[in-house]
Amino acid sequence: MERYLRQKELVCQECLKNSSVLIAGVGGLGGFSSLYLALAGVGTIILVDQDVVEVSNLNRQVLYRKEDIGRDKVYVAAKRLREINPEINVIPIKKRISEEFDIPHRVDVVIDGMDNLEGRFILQEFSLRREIPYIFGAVEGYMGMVTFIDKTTKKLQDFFTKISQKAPQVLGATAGMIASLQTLEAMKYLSGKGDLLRNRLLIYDALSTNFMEVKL
Amino acid sequence: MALVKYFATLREITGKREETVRGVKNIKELMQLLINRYGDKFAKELRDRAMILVNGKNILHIRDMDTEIEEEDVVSIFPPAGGG
Repeated sequence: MERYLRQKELVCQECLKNSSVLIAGVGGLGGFSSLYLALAGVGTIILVDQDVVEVSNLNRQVLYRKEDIGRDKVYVAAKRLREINPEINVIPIKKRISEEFDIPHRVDVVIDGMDNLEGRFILQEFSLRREIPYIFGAVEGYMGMVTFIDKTTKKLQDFFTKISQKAPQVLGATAGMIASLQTLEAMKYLSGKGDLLRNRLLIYDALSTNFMEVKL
Repeated sequence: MALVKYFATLREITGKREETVRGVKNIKELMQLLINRYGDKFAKELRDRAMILVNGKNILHIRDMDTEIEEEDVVSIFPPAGGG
């Protein structure tokens, strides 16, 4: 347990160890959130993504290297996370988040790492069906947003407008910031600590260096 | 009197975090007033991608531009983020 000595007063380590977190999309957001969860000792991390590593991912997707180009993201990510923390169980699933999406594994919380809104709505439905929280996160330009959704809160469709935009500009640092906030929400939830972002949409605007909260 | 809150790019364009607006009945009138006040840049952002919430609910699920604004309502306007 010496590995977790510097966080033992902050989280319920046993709770994290016994938890199973699904990260859907292992790109800019999911790369960072899976890394933070692995470091913190979350017992089971399930990674879902169908993409392969592309050269244009390398500006922001922390788990991949140039030699990984063309390889399946979930398998490369799983290998890296196991190297970072061999004590955890990482389950890679090469699958698209579509209407039919389901997995047999137990999941305690879902973390959004998607790059499109359609996938996010499907992921939210999956989470609500399972009665587990869905931690929404998205980035674009210098801005990002996070909220905690469960059966008691407003849903994506209540506040989000479906706007289709191909491949928005994204910085690794913004993705890292938002993924970090998502991961903290997950760790707080799993440890039973603090206030969660329920019915609160947190917007981070790096250009003005402001955190803003929209009451949902 | 409604409280209008601006976020991210809308804050840049208006130069304000929030302001109170009087004498508008619905979102359409409010937006017209704000477009007159803040000009083309505001109008473009609004048209292209802004999300408008009244008391935390997207106007698309209320009555869109005809959504009425009551005293004490909070209108939040911000751009969406869709990447990851």
